[in-house]
Parts: sequence; structure tokens; C-alpha cells
Amino acid sequence: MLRVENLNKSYTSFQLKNISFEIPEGYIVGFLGKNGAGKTTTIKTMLNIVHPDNGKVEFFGKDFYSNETEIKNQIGFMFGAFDYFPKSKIKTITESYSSFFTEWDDAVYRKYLKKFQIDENKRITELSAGMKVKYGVALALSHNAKLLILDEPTSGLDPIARDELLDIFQNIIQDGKKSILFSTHITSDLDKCADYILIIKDGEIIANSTKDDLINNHAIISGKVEDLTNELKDRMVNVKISRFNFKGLIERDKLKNSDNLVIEKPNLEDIMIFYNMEKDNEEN
Amino acid sequence: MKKTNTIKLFKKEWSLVIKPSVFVFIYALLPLVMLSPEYPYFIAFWFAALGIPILFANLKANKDLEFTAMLPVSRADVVKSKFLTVLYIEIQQLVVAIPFAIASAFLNPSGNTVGIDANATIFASALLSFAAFNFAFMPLFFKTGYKTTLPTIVSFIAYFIIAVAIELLVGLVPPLYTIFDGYTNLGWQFVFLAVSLIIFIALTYVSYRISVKKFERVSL
Repeated sequence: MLRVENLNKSYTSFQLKNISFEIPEGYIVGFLGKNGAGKTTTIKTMLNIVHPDNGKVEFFGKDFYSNETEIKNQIGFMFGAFDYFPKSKIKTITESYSSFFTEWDDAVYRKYLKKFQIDENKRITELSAGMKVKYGVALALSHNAKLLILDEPTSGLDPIARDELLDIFQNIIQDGKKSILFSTHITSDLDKCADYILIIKDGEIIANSTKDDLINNHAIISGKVEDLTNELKDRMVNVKISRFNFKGLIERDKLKNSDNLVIEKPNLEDIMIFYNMEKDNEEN
Repeated sequence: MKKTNTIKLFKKEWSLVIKPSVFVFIYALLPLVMLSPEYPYFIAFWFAALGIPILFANLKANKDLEFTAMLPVSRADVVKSKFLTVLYIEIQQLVVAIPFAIASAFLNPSGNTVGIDANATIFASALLSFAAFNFAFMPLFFKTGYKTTLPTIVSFIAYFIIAVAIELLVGLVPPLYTIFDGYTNLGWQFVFLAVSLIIFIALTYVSYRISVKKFERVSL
């Protein structure tokens, strides 16, 4: 559905480096990274909102940069909260927005308005942060898009609304013909509904696999500080050391039978934290 | 497909960004000053040019271009629709001024004491000044899609250089004065008006092409 190949973009203080990934039909892909890791820049560059230095982006087998208008009609995307035209009424904005999409479905849009309890007669400034996110999502979901690309759609939402939204995502991909890419820094969002995980760090994709593989291929190991040899440390992704004990993340195929350690299954949060820690962190 | 997108964007501008107050300001002030026999009319037309940067600052405050980036439209469509809006404002201003210019000619048959009379020359001068304004403002704005201060300053300077140059030529050079001021040599004045219209169209088209080129490279 979407193929990104070697996408590069350089700024003076930040760089996207050879971003490559694919999104298959019928799945939810979670795009995970801490603040400033390059999630939004990747999405914007993919969509030509930010100009890439080089790279290739294909949607539905077609080159994006030469079929931009046609492809944008078939995808839905939204960047966080809807904060455009703050003094305009929702009704007026939707009227304008919807006129551009050939497959706008007013019934679906009304369904989401009702579900999110959005009052059309309100102005954008009168909406809470969470409501602005919901309105943006409602717009992106209502023109029968085959692929949804949502940047931080859960940020600012309360746990109930977040849960609701993740359920909606799962319903959308039910028919196996639609996919969703959404970025977040909240790992529990992805625990709940992602099939694939992309992790970005400092502008580079550092993990790209199914969620299950990602979890099964890693292990949390812990033990006494005296058992932490340099050789073991080198094999690990990263390690946290306290006075007596250590705890770290390791790729399972780097484990040895001779390791005398407690081995546990990691969760996404563990993986994200250990991958994002500075290496050789010996504090504490 | 492309045409309709431009029209839709143009409509969007009017429903979401353009505030009627801007237009009350423009349309109320211009006709009034044209009735006065002691007012430089080129300044009257400048009010339209004044409304345009206000409109673009408004677009920026509403994050209009960021919103537009989410729509299935090309960057050329976006630029085209903005040009359409600008042309619409300028041309409306000129059209609204016509009956007031005619009224002014009857009310003040001895003409304007401080500048070109309300004749065809002043409309030609307005077209050329608008052309200079568009040529300066639009490409400079679309170079960043964000900054409006520099484009505003440069385009106002461009507008005034042209308008004042025409005023000075017509006011100080005797043969030009006889032909282009007053209401007697309307034939030549209309020739000047036609030539100015052609220059306006050509220069605005060139501004559009440059703007599209610049905007294609902008990261929003």
C-alpha cells in the first residue's frame, strides 16, 4: 500500500537518514519514537509537505510525487489537533474540506460527530484539545480513505477517548482492505492495536517488524552487578545499573546458555526506553 | 479537475479567511475619495493593494497553507487560487471606481488639483501599479509561504514608484499633461489604458509562473 524507500532530508541540526519501510494492506502500523525523533518530519516528507532531498514514495504502486492530487484523494491524514481557522465554525470548515474529496461520505462523518459528541456549530477555539484531535480524526476518516496517516492522534485524549479511538482503528481495518499508520510516543496505544511497529530514533528507523516479533526477539535480563561483564554489556542493547543489580535489554539471539540471568519478556515500553537511552549510561 | 480545484480553493478563501470588514473598508473609502477634487487618486487605488497583505496575514494566522496541504490539490492550484483572489480584489476595486470616476468628472469639471484627474489615465496608472505590486508581492510571499512583512514593504514601494512616476510624468511634462490629464483626449488615454491592461496581464502571468516555481520548493 505504501512503500517508502531511502527518504532523506537534512536540516542544519537534524537529519532523516534513509527512511525505508512498507505498509501492507489491512494492518495497523504504529510509528513509535520519542519527541523530536523525526516522526512528524518523516510523515510530512513522505507527503511532500516537506521537500525530501531524495528518496522514493509509492502509494498503491504509484509514485507519490507525480500523482500527488490523485493519491491524496485516496488517503486521509491529519497532524495532531485540528488548529486551523480557529474563529470559524466546524460546519463551515467541513463544508469546505469535504468539497475537495470525491468520495466524501456525509453519513460516516455524521456518525463520528455523534460518537465524538462534536457540536458542528462550535468554533474551533471553543473546542478542548482532545476535541480538536477528534474533529481532525473525523475529517480524515470520512472520505473513504484506503490509507490513514495520523500524526499523534491520541495525544491529548483522555484514556476513555483513546480507547474508543483505538477501537475505531481496529474496526476500520476489519475488512482487510484498509491500513493505518499512526505515530505516537505512548506505547500502550500500540500494545493495544498495532500489528507492525516502526521505531525511529534520531531520524533513523531502528526497528521495523511485527509487534510480536519485536517483543519475542528481545528479552529483559537482570542480575547482580558482579555478573555484568563487558562482554555481556556489548551484546546488550542497553543496560541500567543500580548499586547491586542491573537490568537491560538484549536481542534474544545474542543470549548465551552460559548467561546466568533472570530472563523476562519485554513490553514495548521497555524496548522503546532501552533503545532510546544513551549507551554507557553508568549513572545511578 | 484542475479548474474545479482552483475554484473550490477560491471559494474556501471566501468562506474561511476573507473577513467582510476588509472589504467594507476598501469599497467604502475608495468611491468617497474619488469625488474629492483635491486628492491623489492613485492613493485611493492603493487601498486595494493595502487589503491584500492584510488578507495574506490573515491566511497565515489561520494556518491556511498548512490546512490546504491536507487537501487533494496541487501546489500550482493553491497559487492559482490565491492569484484569483488577488485579481478579484483588484479588478473589483477598478470596476467599483468607474461610476465614481464618471461622477467626479461631472462634479469637478476643472479636474483634480493635486494629481491626475478621474479619467482613463488614472485607471491605466492603477493597472500598472497593481502589476508592479503583484510582481513584487506574490513571488516574494510564495518564496516562504509564510513571511508577509518583506513582501508587503517591497510591493508597496513598487506600487508607489510606478504610481508616482506616472503622476510626475503626466503632471510635469507638458505634452503628456495635455494628452493624459483632463477629459479632452480620452482617445489616447484609452490607448494607454489598453496597453496598461496588456502589461498588467502579462506581468501578473509572469508573477504567477515564478510564484508556482518558488512555492513548489517550500517546506510547510
